[in-house]
Amino acid sequence: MRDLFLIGFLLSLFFLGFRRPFIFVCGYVYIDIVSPQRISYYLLSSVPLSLIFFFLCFAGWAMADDKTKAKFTVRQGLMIALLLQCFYTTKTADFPVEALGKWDWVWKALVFAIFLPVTLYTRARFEALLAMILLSLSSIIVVGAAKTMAGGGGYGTLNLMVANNTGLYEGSIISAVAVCVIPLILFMSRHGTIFKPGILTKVYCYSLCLACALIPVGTQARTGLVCLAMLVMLELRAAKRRMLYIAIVAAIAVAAVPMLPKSYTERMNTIQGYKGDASAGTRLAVWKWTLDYVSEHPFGGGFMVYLQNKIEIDLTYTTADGTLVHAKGYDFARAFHNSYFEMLGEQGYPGLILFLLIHLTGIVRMEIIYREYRKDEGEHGWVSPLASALQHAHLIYLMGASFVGIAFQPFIYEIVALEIGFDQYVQRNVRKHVWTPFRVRKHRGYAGQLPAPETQPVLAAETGAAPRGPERDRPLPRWGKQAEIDRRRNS
Amino acid sequence: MIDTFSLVLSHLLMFILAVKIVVHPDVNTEPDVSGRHFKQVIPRARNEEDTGA
Repeated sequence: MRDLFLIGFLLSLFFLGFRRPFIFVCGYVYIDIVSPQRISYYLLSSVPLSLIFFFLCFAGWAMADDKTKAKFTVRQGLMIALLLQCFYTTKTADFPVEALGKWDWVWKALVFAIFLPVTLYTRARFEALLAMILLSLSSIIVVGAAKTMAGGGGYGTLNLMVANNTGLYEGSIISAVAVCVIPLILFMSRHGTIFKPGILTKVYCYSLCLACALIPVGTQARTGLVCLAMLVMLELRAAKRRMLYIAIVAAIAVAAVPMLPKSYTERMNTIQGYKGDASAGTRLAVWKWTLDYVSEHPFGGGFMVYLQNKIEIDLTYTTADGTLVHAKGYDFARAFHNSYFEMLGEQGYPGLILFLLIHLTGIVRMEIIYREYRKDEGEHGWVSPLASALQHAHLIYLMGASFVGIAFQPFIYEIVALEIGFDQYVQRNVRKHVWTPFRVRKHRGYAGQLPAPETQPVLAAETGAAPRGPERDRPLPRWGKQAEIDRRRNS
Repeated sequence: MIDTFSLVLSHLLMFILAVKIVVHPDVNTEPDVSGRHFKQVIPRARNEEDTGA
């Protein structure tokens, strides 16, 4: 029955896409996040849905969309460079077969992220995409939150509809992602135009925010708690009434802590120190191994390079009576549990630099837009809140990325693509000059300031000035354009 | 039960979103927000001009 339901939904997207090809883009994002192949039992699992929808996205854009607004940006160039680096390391990987398995979905995520900004040239489009991302995530988050409220949570035991604990269905990853989308949900509840911010929209959005906040409790992932703390700090910056915000957050914290399950508070207490905690000790040992590895292989060892690690874990701890107990553990093939070390180990220094540039550029650009439009109200009153929401989501994700290996998670590349599309939209439509280091200044001589060439002899006859020929192509000075034109005209 | 309810709710909302995208007038072109609105001038009917009404 579930299979038939999912097939029916996909077919409806398929047919609606022929009316509006942008729906194919939304359909691809839905498949990327929800993975209907994984939650269905057998009918969809053998169909290459991603490939079909990616082809339809591209064909729809090529046939129906406005290509004049498609501009190549620096961040897309960086993603192409990262894709090439991944291709190179896959070819030279230490574990070629395993590396090909990861390359199989990484290249799709990167290619789609490079392509996606060219389709996002109207506000309705990137709002629709954002709504599709949030609703797709809600299909996982609502399940987790409802089961948490029903008492079905627990570390590694929260059932999110699928048996295999990978991708966005993994506890720590969904915790980080669920918390990082809260600013975006709040934006949609206040400034959305597709779902107007009425009472129903607000009720749903606030309920979804609560569900997102419950996911770290249900999964008992420490990553989620760190992300929640980051969210509280970032929203304090964006809040208009900060004292009221602090009071509300404090009241929620005081009210919520006694209701948290004991197992959750016990697990969260392990954040305080890393000594004696096998999980933290393992991570530190893997990171040390990664640094040693890249000192010999600066271009990385390709995907799944961690499979070769053999680590010694320091489990020294102090007992209640003050006795220092020295203990050592041994392990092998432990994952990085950190996106930055994941990039460093797998793609080397070039990969890590590209990764940081892609994400930090997005955060800086959103900050610039946020500051530029912070005081705007009315028509462009939504620009600054969206920039702020995207930036906060990005920062929270990057914080979560310090604890889980999510460097190539397609979700964040969709957010990066959304930022690029939004940035370009602001440059093109909002028309207030936001500083950009790569903007090409359009100095085309007198073409923009003087009458058309055929009217010039008439103008010359009227004013008595000699008609200008080749001088028209001379570049204009940056300052005092009108004064310069008048001076040349009179000379 | 929880799985089914959540799936149905989210997919219903996504379907509504898809329909909204289909009927949305500004998906492919950004609306003109310059604030300059021009009154459409329709040519008057010939017999109206003749009679001077």
